[in-house]
Amino acid sequence: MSGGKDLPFGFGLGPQREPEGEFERVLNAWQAPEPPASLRSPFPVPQPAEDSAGAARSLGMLLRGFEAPEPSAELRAAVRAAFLGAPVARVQAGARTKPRSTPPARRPRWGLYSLLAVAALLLVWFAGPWRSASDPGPVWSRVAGDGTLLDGANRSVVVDSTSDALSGARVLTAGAGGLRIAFGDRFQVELTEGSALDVSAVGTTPGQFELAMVGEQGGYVLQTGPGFRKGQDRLSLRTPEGEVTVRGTVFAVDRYADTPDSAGGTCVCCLHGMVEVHDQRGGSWNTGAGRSVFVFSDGSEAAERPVPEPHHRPMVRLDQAPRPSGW
Amino acid sequence: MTQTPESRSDAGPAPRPGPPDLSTAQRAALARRDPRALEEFFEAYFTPLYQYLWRMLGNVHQAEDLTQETFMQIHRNLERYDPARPLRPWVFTIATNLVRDLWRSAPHRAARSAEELEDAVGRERFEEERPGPAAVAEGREVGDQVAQAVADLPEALRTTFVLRFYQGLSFEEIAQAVERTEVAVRKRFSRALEQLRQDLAHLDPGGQGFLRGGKVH
Repeated sequence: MSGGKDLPFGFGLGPQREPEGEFERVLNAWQAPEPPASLRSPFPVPQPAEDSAGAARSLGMLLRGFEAPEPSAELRAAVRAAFLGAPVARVQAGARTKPRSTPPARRPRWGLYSLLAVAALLLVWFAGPWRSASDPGPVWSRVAGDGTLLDGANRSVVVDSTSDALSGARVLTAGAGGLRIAFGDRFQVELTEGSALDVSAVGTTPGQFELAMVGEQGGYVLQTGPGFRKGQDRLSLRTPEGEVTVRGTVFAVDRYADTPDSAGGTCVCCLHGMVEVHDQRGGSWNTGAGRSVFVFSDGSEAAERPVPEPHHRPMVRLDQAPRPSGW
Repeated sequence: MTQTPESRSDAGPAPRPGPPDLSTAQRAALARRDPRALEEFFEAYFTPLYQYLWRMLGNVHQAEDLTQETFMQIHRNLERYDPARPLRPWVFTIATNLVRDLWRSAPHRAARSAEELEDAVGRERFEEERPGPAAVAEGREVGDQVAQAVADLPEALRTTFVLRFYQGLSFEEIAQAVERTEVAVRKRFSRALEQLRQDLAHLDPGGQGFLRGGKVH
C-alpha cells in the first residue's frame, strides 16, 4: 500500500492515514540484531521454503555437501591398464626399485594385485604357447644342460633330475613366451613370459633329490611328478620375501616387484596338496589346496585368502597339460 | 508445459547428472570390446563408479577394491551385454551386486558389529559430558553429518537414494538395477528423503522446518 486514504473531515479527529503504512514501515525497520558469534551456526542458514519444491531444494543444497573424493591416480592407472588390456610394465630381474618411503598400506590391496595378475596372465595367454585349442601343446624335448643361460622360447624341456646340469643356470623368458622345465619325473616348473629364475642348486644325495631355485620376478607354476617322494625329496623356491617348500602339489608362485607407489611381494597359491611358506621375518604358513598367501616386501601383514581366479587358471592348465614322458 | 516424470516436484531434490549412456553404436562397439569403446567407457564411468562405491561403503580401500572388481566383471561380462539395452543400469547393477556381496560377507558383518559396539560404548561414556546443540553443530562439519545420515539409511534406501541423487539415474534405470518396480523405487526414494529430513533436522537452526514439508510421493 502506497499510503493511507483520507477520511471525511470531522469524522473522528480529522484527516488521518490508515495505520497500515506506518505499521509496515516500523516493522520493516525493526531488524533483529545478529546473535553473538558463540551462538551463531557455522552453516549457512537456508531460507524458509515457501513450497514443497523450495523445501526440496533446501535439502538438496545440504545433501550436495556430501562430496565424494576423486579416485587416486594410482587406482586409475591400475584399473585402466587391466581394463584396457594394456601390457603391464615389468621390472627387469634383479633391478629392484628402492623401497618406498611412504608408510605401508594399512591393508593388502588384493584387488590391485589381482588386476595386475590378470593383465599379466592375459598377456601370457594371448601371446604364449597355450593360446588356442588348436595349439598342439608343448613338445617335450630333452636337453643336455650346460649350466649356461637357457633362453625359453615357447618350449618345454626335460633335464635329467639326477644331474646338476642346470645348477647355477639363469632361466629367462623375457619376451619369449613361456617355458616348462621338467626335472626328470620329479618336478616340472613353468615360467610365464617375462620371468627369471635362478637355479641355485640341483643335487642328489642317496635317497634324496633337491632342487632350489630363486625367483626374483615373474610367475612360476610348479608341479610334483610321480617320482617325487614325500618327506625325502625337496623342492624349494625362494623369493625376496621368503621361501616356499613343496610337499607334493601343484602350486604357483608370483613375484611382484616393488613400484614407486606400492610394495611388491610374493603370492603363493596352491591347487593340490600343501606348500610351506616361510617369510624372512620368521612367519610361516601351511597353504593348502585352494588357498593362497601373499607376503609383502615391505613387511605388511601377510594376507591369506582363497586362490584368486587369475592364479587358479594357470595351475589347472599345467595340471591338465601333457605330461613329460615317464610321468 | 509438459512435465516428465523426472521433472515433477515430487521427485525431490534435483539429482546430479550421471555418467552418459553411450550411443547405440558405442555400446555395440563396447560389447565387441573395441579398444576405443573400452577407453571411452572407462573415461566416462571410472570416476562415477568409484564415487558411487565410496558413497555406498564410506571406505576408500573398499571402494578401490570394488572399483577394480567392478571393471573386471564388466570386462568379463561384456559379451553378455545387449547393446540394445541402456548401459547405465547394467553397469550399476554389477557395482550394486558387488556392494551387496560385500555387505553380506562375514568379515564385513563382523567389522560392523565391532563398530557398533564401539559406538555404544562411546555413547555411554559420552552421555554425561554431552555438549549442547550449538557445540555439536560447531564440532562437526555439515558434510560429515550428511555423510553419516546417508550412511544410516537402510541399505535398500541408501542404494536407491545414492543412485538417484548422486549418480543421476532415473527411477526406471534404478528399478532395472535393483530389480524392483519403478513404483517401489520411488517409494524407497521418498522414504530415504523423509528419513534424511528427520536426521538432518537439527541443522535447521531457526526451527522453521525448512527441511520439512517437502511433499514427496
